[in-house]
Parts: sequence; structure tokens; C-alpha cells
Amino acid sequence: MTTDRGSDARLRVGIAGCGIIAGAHLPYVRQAGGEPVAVCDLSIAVASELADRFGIQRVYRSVEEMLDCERLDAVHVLTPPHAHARVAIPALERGIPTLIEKPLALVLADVEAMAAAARRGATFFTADHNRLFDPPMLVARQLWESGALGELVAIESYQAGVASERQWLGEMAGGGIGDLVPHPLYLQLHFLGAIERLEAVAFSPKGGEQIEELRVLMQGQGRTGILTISMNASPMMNTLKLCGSKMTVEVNLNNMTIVRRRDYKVPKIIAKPLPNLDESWQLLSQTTRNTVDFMRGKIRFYPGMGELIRRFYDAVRRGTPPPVSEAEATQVVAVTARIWEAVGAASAKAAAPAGGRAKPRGPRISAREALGAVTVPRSETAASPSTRGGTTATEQPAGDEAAAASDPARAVSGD
Amino acid sequence: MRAFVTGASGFLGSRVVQRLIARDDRVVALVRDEAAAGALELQGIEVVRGDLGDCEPWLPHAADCDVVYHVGARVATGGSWDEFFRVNVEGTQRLIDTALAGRAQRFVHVSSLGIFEIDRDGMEIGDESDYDRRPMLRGNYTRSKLDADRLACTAVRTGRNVVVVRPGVLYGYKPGRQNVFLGRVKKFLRPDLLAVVSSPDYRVPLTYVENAADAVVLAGTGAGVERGIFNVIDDPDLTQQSYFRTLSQVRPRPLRVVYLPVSLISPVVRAVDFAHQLARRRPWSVAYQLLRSERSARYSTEAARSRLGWTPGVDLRTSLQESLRSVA
Repeated sequence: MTTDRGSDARLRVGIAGCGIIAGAHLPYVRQAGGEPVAVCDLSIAVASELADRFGIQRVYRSVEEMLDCERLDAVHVLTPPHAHARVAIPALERGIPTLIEKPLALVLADVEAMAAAARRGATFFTADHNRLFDPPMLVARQLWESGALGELVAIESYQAGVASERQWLGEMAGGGIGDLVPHPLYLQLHFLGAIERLEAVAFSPKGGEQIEELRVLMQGQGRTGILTISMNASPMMNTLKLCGSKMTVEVNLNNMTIVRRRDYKVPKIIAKPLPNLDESWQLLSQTTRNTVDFMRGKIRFYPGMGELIRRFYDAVRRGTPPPVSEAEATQVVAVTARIWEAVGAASAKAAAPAGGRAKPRGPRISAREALGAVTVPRSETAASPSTRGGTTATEQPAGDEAAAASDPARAVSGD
Repeated sequence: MRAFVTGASGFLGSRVVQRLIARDDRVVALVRDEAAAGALELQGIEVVRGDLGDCEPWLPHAADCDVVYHVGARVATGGSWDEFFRVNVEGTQRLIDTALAGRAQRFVHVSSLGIFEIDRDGMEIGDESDYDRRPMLRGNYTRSKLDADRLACTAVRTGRNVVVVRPGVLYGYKPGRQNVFLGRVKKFLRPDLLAVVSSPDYRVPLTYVENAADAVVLAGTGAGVERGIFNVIDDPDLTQQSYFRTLSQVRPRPLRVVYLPVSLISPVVRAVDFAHQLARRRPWSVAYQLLRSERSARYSTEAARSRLGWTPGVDLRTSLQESLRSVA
């Protein structure tokens, strides 16, 4: 798993996939102690453009060519998600640790194939769950892990945005909104642990084919989570609220702020305005600091990505745990499949005439995705209990979920 | 042997064609200019009329030859990046793919020596040295030549029969022109007084066009060089001072050269660069190119000499006399 390079030597990094997100990774590669020595892409135009922008010396048209010609210590897989497994497996089989963009895969069969390749190559992969490492998220995680939040009881994530217009979005369950799901979902799952129940509602308010509004209710390990994604609400906010028995914190992932809310042991007349003043002060001081840091170049876009890449390289060099475990990354793919399965079933129920069954409408869920969802061994969907701070739940066997998929009423109610 | 030559009517390509004919190879020449095409046809050369930027019509001809000499390129001073990319980068890749998928046994790509990173004065540059890490500051032509070289070298690295030849600054006879090197940043103060922004010790990577043509043909015909990368300059240790001294001796009238330090004009150039950046008029930087002309590198030609068996057939004095014969 670790390289034979000294801890001071720069890691030789290969970039597979030269689209927009590669331009976000590359500044952090050098900052984290890597040297991007080669890129590959099917398109020589985008590969050359990226190589020119970042002074990368070699360009290949296939990942196999790159792996055969270069001695790499790490690979970043930054292709569209349906191609992650095809690109990552050759690297993993050669024993090269691999960082894979989110979502790790679209179907669990791909995750299993990558895990098998990693075992064959005696190496590991990790997923780019970068939001988990944004500065305010690290503070929130620390507050939870240190017990300052008390018992975590509820998690709310809210994301309003528009889907990008990438060609490959048609490959994703849910289409455009499907691309918005992974970020809030991995944030939720980090705190929820294994999911015992899941309900989902999705629809298009304008009656279109594409889903534009999605709400998911999940019951995890002693806490619940609500995930909301809206493609119509304004402004485009991206927040995560963690409600604990001692404190509630709200992270604004657009503005990189975290607001702590707690009870004040003060007379009632002060207790009314004090929280607002406290919140205002927190926002003012953090915004000022962020602005100064941004102008000084200390922080830039996707700050969590830098921290995640640094931890990934630490894992490559020193054998420390990867920033996102295989179980954690796998769980996101599994739960995503469950969401679309529940959405499909809910739509079927909503559209069903009294006493009859109807074909699900609305979400674009391919048969391949649906199959991927129902053939998952349940153990794969559970994250490591040790990283959750809770106990492992007894989850439904796969057969139950398959049955739930065929029974809209069960899927909607969750049990 | 049937040889396909792009840029066949150009400065270097025309010399490559003459050598191939002298070898009794059957030459298929890609030519855009009608007058040049007619002249080649008069010599009995098979001519394919076509533009490097529109390769579809003539690619089948390239696929039907034993060796492809890709000498041509878009060499304009202006033009959009898309145009340079399409001709010099995408065109090169398509030509490599088509030729080697056809009957071609070897593909010779003529590149350039101006594509390397020179981060310190006096550094040694070999065939596998690093490319310029800021090619976008170099202008569209150099950037496109760097990108094309990188793809050609990838083909070499992945075991395809591609030979990359990188001549230095080419000079040689052109009718009616004083076609010799006169400094990277220069100004004639009088007809016999030249101001050069550089130092006398700057190593000038020059290749006489006839010597370069020898190397290109050796790359296409030499035994045991199915693939490789070769830097080709006549004298790796030639300094600017030594060069201008020889040039002065062979000119009809002696030439005096004054060397101006880069620092003298660098503030002005930086200000102009800054103004252009503000106006978003051009992405490249004259200051960066000026900085490069301050740092000289020593280019190793070891591989060309040992593997290709190339040596410069014409020495500096003779080549300069020949180059200046039309203005003598």
C-alpha cells in the first residue's frame, strides 16, 4: 500500500480524465506534495490544454498507455462516473493507489469490481468526498467527535442548484439532479451510519420528464436525516445542519462558515437577542477571515479537495487510513441506488389508479441501475461502525429490499 | 521506397524531397501552393494538392506510403489557437494514426528545439528533457509545436514507429533574402551595426537547413532507428559572439554587433505585457520570451550523432556563405 519513496519525495501522479474537475485537482496535487507527470484523455484537445495549463510533461490517449509508460505512485480518476471502474481497475491491478471522483460509481457491480482489483493489486482506492474536508466541515466533525454537540439526533442537508449540462448525465439515475445527490448524501451518511429506513419523494413541479425536486428521509444509527435538493428554489444554498443534544451547528458550504447555536444560561430578556447577536458575530468574523485568506491566496475554490488530496498522499506515503474508506464510498453508491429505487416505487404508487398498478413515471432510472440496487449484498451498504460512533444496525436482507421494490407501499413506508 | 512528404515545397521540405529523389525513392509531395505543385510535377514528382488543415482528402495517400515525412506545419505569426491546434496538433496525430495504420513502416515528425524548459542558464538539454512548463506564454505556434512533439513522443514511448527530429533555428539560402540568424531580439541601428538584446556568451542553437534535411532523411531511412527522438543542431557550443564573428567575415561588408543586457528593456516589455493582459489582447508574454533569450542551454546532439549517424555535413562558414549568396 505504501510507496518505497521517502516521505519528502514528490509522488509521481497520473491524471486520468482531463475535464473541468481536473483543473480543480491539479493546483492541489502540487500543493500536497505530488508532481503531475502525465495525463490521459480520449480527447487530445482537452488533454493537451490541461497539460499546457499546468506544465505537465506527458499526454496519453488511454489509461493503459499511461500506466504502461509511467512509473506512477498515485492516480486520480476524473472521468465521467460511468467510466470510473473501467479506468480505475487497470491502475488498481497494477498496485497503484487511486483517488476516484464522486460518485465512486453508478452501480454497485462497478464498486465490487474496483474492490476486487484493489485486492489483486494489494492497494486501495478512495473517493473524492471533498465536502467532508472543507474547513467548516472539519470543525463540525471535530465538534461531533469531541462530544461538544452531545448526542447527534438530526441532520438536515439542503442544496439548491441547477444541474450542469454534461453529456454523460443521461447515464445517471435521476439525470441532472442525480449529479447533485452525492455531495449532500455522503455528508449525511458520514453522521448517520448504516441506514435502517429510507423514504424518498421526487417530482417535477412543471410536470416535466426530469426530476427537479427531491426529498429523502433516512433513519440511521439513532438519528434521522433529511436531504433536500431543489432545482427551483432561490438562492442556490448549500447547507448542512447538525442538531445535537447540547448544540446545533449549521454549516454553509457555499460561504464556508459554521454557526454554533446553544442555550445561554442568562436572564430571559438577554436570552432572546443574544443568539442572534452571537450568530451575527460568528458570521461577521468568519466572513472577514475568509475574505482576507482568499485575497491572500490561502484558500481557493474546493478547499476540501486540497485537504482530501493531502490525506490521500499521506495514505500512499505512510500507510495512514485513506481520507474516505472503501466502506464509506461504497455506502454512498448503495444508498443512492436505494433512493432512486424508493423514488421509482413512490412514483408508481402516486400514479397507480385505485386498486391497480401503474408503470412508474417521472424519474429516469435505467433497468441497469435498478438491478444494481437490488442485487447489493446488504453488508456492502453499511459503513464501518468505528467511524460512526454508533452501533451497527441490523439491516434488511437483500430479498426484503427486492420485495420492497416490487411493492410500492412497502418502499414508501420503508418497512 | 514510397515516401510521403508534407510541407514538400517549404524551406526544409523541398530539401528533403531532393534528397529522397537522389536516393531513388518515389516521392508523393503534399503541396498547397499551385505554382509550387507545378514546379514539383515538372521534376516528375507525384503531387497531392492539399491543405494540412483539411487532411481528410489526402490522408489515404499518406496511408499508401512506406515512410511519412511530416515536415509541414502552420507557421503563421497570427491566428487563433483553434487553427494552430487543428493543423499542427490534431493534424499530426491523425497523420501518425492513419499512416501507421496503413502501410507506413516509419513516421518522421519534424519538431523544434524551442519547446524546452530552460530554468537556469547553461543547463544541458537532452532528447528527453522537460518541456517548457508555461507554453501558453510562448504564443500559439510554439505551443502547438510543443503539443505536437509531446504526442509524437508519446507514440515513440508506446512503441510506435515514430522518429522525432528536432532541428534548432533553421537558416539557409532563400532567393533574395539575407536568411541567416541575426539575434532573437535585435535591431539594425545602421546597415552594418546590429544591436542584439542578449549576451555574447549566449549559445545559439542553429541548424543549417541542408544539415537538417540530412538528419530528416536519415531518420526515415537509417537502419535500426524505427523510433527515437533526436535533437539536431550543428554546434552545441557555438556562442553568439563566435557566430557573429564568422558572419561578419563572410558578409560583403563587416558587421558590428552591440550586446544590450535584457534588464535594459525588460521593464518596458513587462509594462507592454501588462497592458495587453489588462486588455486581454493576447495570452502570451514577450517578457517571458525575452527571459528565455537571456538563459542559454547546451543542447546535446549525442543521440543524433551516435544512433542516426548524423554529422553536420556543411560547416558554419560555408553554410553562411551559401546562405548569403543571393545578397552578395
